[in-house]
Amino acid sequence: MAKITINGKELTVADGTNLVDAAEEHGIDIPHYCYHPGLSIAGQCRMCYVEQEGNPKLQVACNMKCSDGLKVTTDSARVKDAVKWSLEFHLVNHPIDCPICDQAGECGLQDYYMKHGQYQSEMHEDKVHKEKVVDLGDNVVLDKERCILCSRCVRFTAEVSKTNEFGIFNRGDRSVIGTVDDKPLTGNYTVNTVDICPVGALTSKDFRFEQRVWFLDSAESVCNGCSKGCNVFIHHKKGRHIYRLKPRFNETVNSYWMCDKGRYTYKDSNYDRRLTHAKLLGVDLPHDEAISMWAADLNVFTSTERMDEIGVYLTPNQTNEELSALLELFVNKFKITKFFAEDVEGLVKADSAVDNFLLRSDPYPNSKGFLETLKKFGVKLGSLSDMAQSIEKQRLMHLIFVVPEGQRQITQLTGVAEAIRPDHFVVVLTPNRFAQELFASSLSIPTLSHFEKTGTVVNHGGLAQKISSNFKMFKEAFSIESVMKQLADAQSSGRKKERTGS
Amino acid sequence: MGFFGKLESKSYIIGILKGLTITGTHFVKNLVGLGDRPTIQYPEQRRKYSDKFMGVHVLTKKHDGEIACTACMLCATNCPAECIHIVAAQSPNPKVEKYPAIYEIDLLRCVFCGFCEDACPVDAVRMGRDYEMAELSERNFVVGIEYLKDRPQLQGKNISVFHEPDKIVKRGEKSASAPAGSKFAKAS
Repeated sequence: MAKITINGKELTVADGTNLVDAAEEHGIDIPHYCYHPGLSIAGQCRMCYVEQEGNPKLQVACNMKCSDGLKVTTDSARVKDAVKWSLEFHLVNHPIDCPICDQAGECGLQDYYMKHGQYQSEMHEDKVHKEKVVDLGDNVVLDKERCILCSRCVRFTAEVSKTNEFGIFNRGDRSVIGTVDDKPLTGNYTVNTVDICPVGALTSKDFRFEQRVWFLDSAESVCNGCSKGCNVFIHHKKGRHIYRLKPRFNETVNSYWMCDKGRYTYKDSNYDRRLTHAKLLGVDLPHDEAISMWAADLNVFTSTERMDEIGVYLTPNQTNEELSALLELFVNKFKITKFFAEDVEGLVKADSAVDNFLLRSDPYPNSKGFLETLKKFGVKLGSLSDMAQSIEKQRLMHLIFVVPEGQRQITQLTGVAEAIRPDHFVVVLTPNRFAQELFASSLSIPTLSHFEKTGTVVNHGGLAQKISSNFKMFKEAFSIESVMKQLADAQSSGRKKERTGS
Repeated sequence: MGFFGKLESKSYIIGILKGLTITGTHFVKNLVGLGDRPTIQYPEQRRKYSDKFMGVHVLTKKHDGEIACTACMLCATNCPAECIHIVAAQSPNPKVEKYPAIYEIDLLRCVFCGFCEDACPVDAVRMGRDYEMAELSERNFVVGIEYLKDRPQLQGKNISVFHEPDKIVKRGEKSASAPAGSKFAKAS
């Protein structure tokens, strides 16, 4: 530990911490553009000036490591003046087209101008115009004019994604950021450059003009794209529509980054891909009626002791709590024995990092937790081909599918869906509109999508992560836990009616 | 009871007579055209409203006929009635980056406060002069770009529908340089 003094306040920080981080830890804001804790140090932006005792010149804080006896001032008039005019230099050629810039609202230039700038510009020269709207592949749009040359993206592609695509071209005020010949970006980590860009030079194509950021609310969750379990922020508007995912710092899992594939998993949660109403044979019906209909059919099987004719399909997309609720009812209460899923054990065994960084080959966020929970309840899994065969031979008459959002299960289940005949009773618990369309003759009950859930998922390394999003997109969709509770209530009340003969 | 009771029960007659006198005086005055009548023969006669009157909005046009709005959504942000709905998109015009694919104002929700006009950084939305609104369906009060920039009521009215960026007043400059309709001059 090192004892340092910032603005006359004595602080104890870990030896060798970067001064910008150490100050932020203790609530002192040192403005910076080029410094990013996940990247190397460039000292490009000259915004993090501090006055060090015993040093006649101002120093950049991002290049200072904390050691015993370090004494700096961040709020002296000299520092404030230096920061102010550094900022003016950044804005010399900046077009200030905030009305059409997607970064507006979360832009470093806007924030620092209000905090540290507030000057009357002393520049009389015309601005240097550069290329706007440069297409950099499927995910990123570049605006060379807005760039302040902090080189964060250059360092990201050099150090983290190792694709070495960005560079600074030309000299002086004609310097521009870009790729060679404006070639599109490759790889699976391109949108991270958008996240780290402190201004609006790099913007996401997916989010382009979609929404102003000040309208967005934020919720914390975990990505469901693969078994890595990257921590994310969900940016949604009033819980009605999700607009984007942003990585959330977690040192042990994803650091500051996430992959492009995971970034777009939010699309399956939005209205156009969601089942928004309970449906029977494709026709809307009230939620309570759907539950009581399901309970009535289950009662037929339980009262005639035909529990082995019930088959349940599960996926590791469910959280541990959801699986416990499902199995508590199905295994402990209804004594259902036939459970089916994709070969999850095989997926876990073959799980590896696809591109030596974040993305993994196992497409489920909770495979480990899934296997553990099943073990706890003593459930053995059958394969999907078994399921299709048993359905064809009429050994399974009541089928329960718990299908998550996304296309993977839809393609997997086509074989099973083809085997289904009109005399099978099919229940689909899903947030996914396509699952309802696949099992057209089913009783479909809408559930929550991954990003609305509260619960625990276990990632590939066995790390259990809590997710609690705290918003709900449709009032008709319920969590699986509450659907199970409603089902248990409806089932027991149905049996009482049978007994009393009313 | 007796005398006092009788008087009490008849005292309203004086009040009635006083009231009738006022009504009758106005009736006669108006009948012979001497009265100072507050009513007018609308719609043949119309009142002159102030230049500051805030009626149905106008979306200004650039001189090539395209709307000046850049879909920055500051008007929607500033709107206290939440009546402005904008969907931004990439403009088909290569010289323009962002434009509103949909710009709708729900005139029934609108309180005509003019905050949208204040918020606009590019002088793209102004408060117009029209106040006569009658439609058969509520849906018709949700008006889009076509109505806001080109409706027939805008012809010949005391409002410019053209976006005038050169008349935007910079902070610190004297606003005297702005034209007579300096209501539209903006501090940038």
